Amino acid sequence: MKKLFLYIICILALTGCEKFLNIKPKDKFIPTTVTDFENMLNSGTMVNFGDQYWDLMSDDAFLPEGEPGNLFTKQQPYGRRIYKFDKNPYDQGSNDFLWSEGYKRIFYCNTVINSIMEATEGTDANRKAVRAEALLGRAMEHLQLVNTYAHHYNAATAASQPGIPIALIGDISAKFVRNSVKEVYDQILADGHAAVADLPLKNKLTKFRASRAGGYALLARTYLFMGDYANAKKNADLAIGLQGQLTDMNTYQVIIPGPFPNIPGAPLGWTNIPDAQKNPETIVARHFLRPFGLGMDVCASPELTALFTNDDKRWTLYYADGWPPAPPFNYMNRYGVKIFLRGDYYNNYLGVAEMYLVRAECLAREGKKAEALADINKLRQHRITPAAYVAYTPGDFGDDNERVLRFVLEERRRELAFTGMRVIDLKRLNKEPRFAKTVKHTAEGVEYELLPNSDQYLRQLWPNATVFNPDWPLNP
Amino acid sequence: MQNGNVNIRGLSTLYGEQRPLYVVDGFPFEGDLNYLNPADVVNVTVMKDAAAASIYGTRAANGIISITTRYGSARKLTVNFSSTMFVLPKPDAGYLDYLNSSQMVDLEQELFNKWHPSWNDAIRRSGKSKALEALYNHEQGFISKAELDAELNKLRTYDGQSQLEDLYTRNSLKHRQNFSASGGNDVHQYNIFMNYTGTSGSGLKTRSQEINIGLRDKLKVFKWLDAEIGASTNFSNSKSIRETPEMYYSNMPYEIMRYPDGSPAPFTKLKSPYELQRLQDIGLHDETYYPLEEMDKANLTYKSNYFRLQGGFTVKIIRGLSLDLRYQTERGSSYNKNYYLADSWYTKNMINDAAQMVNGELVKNVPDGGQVYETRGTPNSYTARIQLNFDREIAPRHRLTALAGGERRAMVRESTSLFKMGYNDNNLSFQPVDEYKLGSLKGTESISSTFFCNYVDGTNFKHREERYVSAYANAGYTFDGKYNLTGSARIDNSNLFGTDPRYRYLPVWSVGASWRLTEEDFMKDIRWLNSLAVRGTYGSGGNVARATGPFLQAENQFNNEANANGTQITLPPNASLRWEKTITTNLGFDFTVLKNRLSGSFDYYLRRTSDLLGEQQTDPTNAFPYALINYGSVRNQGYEIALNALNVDGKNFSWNTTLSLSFNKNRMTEIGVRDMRYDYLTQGYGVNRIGYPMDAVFSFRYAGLDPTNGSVMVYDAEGKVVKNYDASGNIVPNMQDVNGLVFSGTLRPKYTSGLTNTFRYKNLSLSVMIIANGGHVIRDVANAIQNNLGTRNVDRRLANFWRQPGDENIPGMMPAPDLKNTGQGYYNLIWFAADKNVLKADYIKVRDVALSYNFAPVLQRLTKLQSAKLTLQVQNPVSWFRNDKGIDPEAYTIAGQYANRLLPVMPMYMAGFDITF
Repeated sequence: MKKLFLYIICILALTGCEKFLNIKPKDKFIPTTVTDFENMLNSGTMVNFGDQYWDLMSDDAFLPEGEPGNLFTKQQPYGRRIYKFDKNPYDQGSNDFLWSEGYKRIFYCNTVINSIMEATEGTDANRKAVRAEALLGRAMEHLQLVNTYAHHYNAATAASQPGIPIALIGDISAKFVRNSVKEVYDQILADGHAAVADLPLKNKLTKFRASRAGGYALLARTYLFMGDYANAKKNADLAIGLQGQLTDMNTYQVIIPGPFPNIPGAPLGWTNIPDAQKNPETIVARHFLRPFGLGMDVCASPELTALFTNDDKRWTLYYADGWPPAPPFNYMNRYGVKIFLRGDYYNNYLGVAEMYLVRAECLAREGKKAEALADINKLRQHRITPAAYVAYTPGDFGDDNERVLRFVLEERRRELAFTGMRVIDLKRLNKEPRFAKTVKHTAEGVEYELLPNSDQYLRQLWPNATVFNPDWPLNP
Repeated sequence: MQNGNVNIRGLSTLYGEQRPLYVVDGFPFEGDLNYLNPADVVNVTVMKDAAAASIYGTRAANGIISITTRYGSARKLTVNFSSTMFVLPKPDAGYLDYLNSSQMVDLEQELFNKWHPSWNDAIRRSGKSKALEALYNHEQGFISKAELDAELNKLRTYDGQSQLEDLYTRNSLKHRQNFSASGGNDVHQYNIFMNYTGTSGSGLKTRSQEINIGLRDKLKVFKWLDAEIGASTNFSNSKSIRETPEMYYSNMPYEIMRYPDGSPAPFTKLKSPYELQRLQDIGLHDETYYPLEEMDKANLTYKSNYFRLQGGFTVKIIRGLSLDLRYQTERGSSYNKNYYLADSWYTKNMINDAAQMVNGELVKNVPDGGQVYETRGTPNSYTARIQLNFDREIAPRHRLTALAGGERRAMVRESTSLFKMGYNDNNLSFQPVDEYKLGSLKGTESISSTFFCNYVDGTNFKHREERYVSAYANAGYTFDGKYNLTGSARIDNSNLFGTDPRYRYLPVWSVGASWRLTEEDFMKDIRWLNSLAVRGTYGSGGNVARATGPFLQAENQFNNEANANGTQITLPPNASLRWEKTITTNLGFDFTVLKNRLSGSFDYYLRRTSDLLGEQQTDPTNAFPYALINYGSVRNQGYEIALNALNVDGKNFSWNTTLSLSFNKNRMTEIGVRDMRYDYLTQGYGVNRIGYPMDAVFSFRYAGLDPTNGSVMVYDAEGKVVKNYDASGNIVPNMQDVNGLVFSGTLRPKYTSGLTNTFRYKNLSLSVMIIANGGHVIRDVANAIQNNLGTRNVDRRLANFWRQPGDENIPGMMPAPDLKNTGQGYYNLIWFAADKNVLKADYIKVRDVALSYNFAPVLQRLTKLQSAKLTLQVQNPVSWFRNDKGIDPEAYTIAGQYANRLLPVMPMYMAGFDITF
């Protein structure tokens, strides 16, 4: 009898406690496989980018004030402050989404970059390809952050000007320093070049996933910001070589009028333009945190309005008179402007059109007017109604380099309005005195001015982060 | 006990398991306490000191409630039958103290005339309160002044609350039948029980039924071998309604269900009459909501089965040494089904919201037909235990008891949920839909023009598994029957934290000593003292927050936009995570005096918990603005006094009194506030801050209403009056300095007490139990008006707001409304969290009065009858609250920026008889 019990004790003790406890918990998901990490790139966090309020700082934005239809007070307090060029739009406690979500996406990228090579179940080629996508994502975030919180890149001063913290590890207790603008750009270029080598030729699943063309596109954008036009052109060339197809916007139309449902004759609403992640013109897609960005909350400024004609599909598909043509939406009657009312989940990341614009600008700056205009013509052919389309030649601009360049930049403004690019372009072009420009906004009866190269272009570092990092130098 | 949550001796964790461990017949119990037969519970012991933890492991850090059920007696067969009826009257809505219809219409009209948002399409289409709808319709010229007045006057006469009482609620009834039989002989003893409980709830069409059947059996197989087996099972089912009466009591008072002529009346939901008509005009469903008809258009049912099997052997090896082998398994299944008929409001609303007009064609993306949500779950667990017991007098006057054992335990909870549209409950057919497309639709007919159906919410798999392997030992030594030393230790090893041994093991241990003074020679002469013993224990226990761990944790969910599964990081890796540790010291004494007429015990305890897990703000540059980390300490100390006195002990009359009192005081000895901001410190949930008790309440210092505009003024840290508006009258948050806030107490009771008096006269007995809890605070329930009133009724006092200079001097005056909501949340916060609105929460209740009569001695001819008792009982008949607003802290809820009364705790009446042969 005793033997039996001894036997039972032995069984209980030896039946592998370790095995019994080493189960992989199903309710707690601890990523281990390549797929687990790769799926981070499909998460709801990674599909967003940027900060839609930022466009309110630009000369494209106009907020009518009179009641009804007052768009200024309709804005969140942060939006109102940004419109007034306030350097401190976010108080401590309020959420600066560009910082919180931007660094969160960097955390995701870092988790992938630092873990994928040791992850199980997958091929080495795929590990590298996924890591390359994460590297590209990290570079893109750093590029956006440095352009929001720091002065524009200037080769002469970049090494001494404070940029943003470079985050290269995903750890809750990590400490960062505020790196210089040059260090940030060096990191962006290093990540970008490393990514290009391993990026897949085609986007997987949707355009949220990166492709090699995206790697070149990012490099082209970065070099353009740095004023390195030779490299910008080279990379734009490579990007277009891999993905250069534009879509004729004349094939798009409004299918469900809105956002005023079922009122016959409503001018605009939900179009059949594919959402960014499925749009053929997208190279790498991201959405704004709010799907339509500033849509329905901002008007094109009179200046931007003047750049468009009714033959431009971008104008007729993205901007509306408002309906019914009575208060509060009769902005056209009251101010001669249209409300930005874009109904597709559009792209604010890398696109084909931007590459043609980058290449055209580089060519124009080199004085290659015909080649520059060829790119612009190609873009306009896909944007303007056939009846109104004209192929421009240098002769139309009096063979003047300057006028061609200005036309290229004008086209860039039309194409990229409200995608988060205009403020960077203002900062970039202000470095050249011939393009320097003062932006003026009026709010609550007060006129606000944003002078070229002003410190007001710099958003103050988010106070929620700086309280933990008293060593970071603050913006002036 | 507070709001149904049982906490023993104050909380020692913020994020770990807070519930005490229930142990039934020696095994941890995961089932519902209702599964136990109350008539069979012979003993309930609450174990609180460190020794308890070292026997039952980590979960015991919150205390143990040990329940022992009945075995048969070897002597004779006993049969018991009892039947009890419970009646809970309809809730008395008068307690809620809301505005009546006429007052509400007046208030809405007055506020509308002061200011209202300008008319636009969104306002036109959204559901509004009926008075507001009429006011806007008149303003826009859709109805004349006469029509407006007629409509408002009609609303004034409607009495929604009395209709709710007449048409939607009833007195809740519950009846319980119980049968048990026990008996046996020297070799074999058994107990069999069965009971049935049927309940009909206070809301119409809500009912539940429950059946419990069980057996316990003990057998002496050989002289050296005992065997026992226990089996019990529970079957239950219930029906409920989606829209409970509780939800409707806060409706606008003029929302009625039936017009005076008897025809059904609709409730206002999300859409205006204009919008409802517009949807019908384009060929969609009529979404008008008739509450009385909707009740029959949704079937919400729940069924479950539960089994518990226990078995064990005790082997006597040599004298004093025995071996226990025990096994328990709990298994069950549950089935929850919510079926919405094709014409239910929920179905129609979803169909309409998802519909699109594409090129003039109506496209219904959600198919017509019913909808069903189902969840089927199969929880199960087992525990296997082997234990050696030793109990022997090793030498004269030296007694040693010891036990050592090992335990293995696993718990699995699994469930599968599904959601189907176009469902037909007769032939069980359903229609396939494009789940991907339904995940995000643009340009639909909903108010927001978009439609999102997260299919994963309705269709999912869940699986949770916990495994433990434990070893424990326990020894006691007694000398001369007077001196006693105990020691115990236990180590738990679980799967909770993955593979890192640092987080897997938590040793818990305790030591204790006791001394029976009355056994000493020098005490023998004290005649009035029957017994006196002092005792003390000291030990360590632990708790674990299951949510977080040293690894990065994620969630895998289909991301509609990315058309793929997405890995979302939910918790960052936390390499420095540790167990929460609790050190408990317990000192006490037990005594019996005056010929055992008075007995009692006194306990003092001190529990220090360190490495408390708490949520703390972190650098958002690391992606997570808050993280759960070990960073706090809390100290709980208190006294517990229990007294039992037999005041009168006569042949015909006796009177017995028991009193229990417990005081708990806790203080956060180390913790950083999640957000050291004025609005975080003053929010309603209470905060944990160093030097203050858990769930501390901080308040603004109220400085009266501003005589110029009736806004709230407060004092700052220097005692200066702070006004909170700018030149244009907009509310601005001028008082943001946390140093200007004052500490107003804690939301947790500091003392709880109970006093029971039992009187017996011949066969009649009466017992009265009174409880008193308090020492804590609550915030008042009347909020400042900000924005419009919305569609909910409000506290009667809200109508009494500042209208003109001078009003500020009237006591009880509410601040002027911030109709444009320029102050956002701030305006209400400085009123809600003003120190003048902090109320004392002490209360006394007569919890229970029971009168019973035993007929057995009267019916002496029936010799077999042991007892026949008739009992009449009432619970909560009388209450007293310390605050002058009449708020019952047991019928009250507090949230971030508001507090509300809940439906009152009604007295419950019971009548029952109990016969034992």
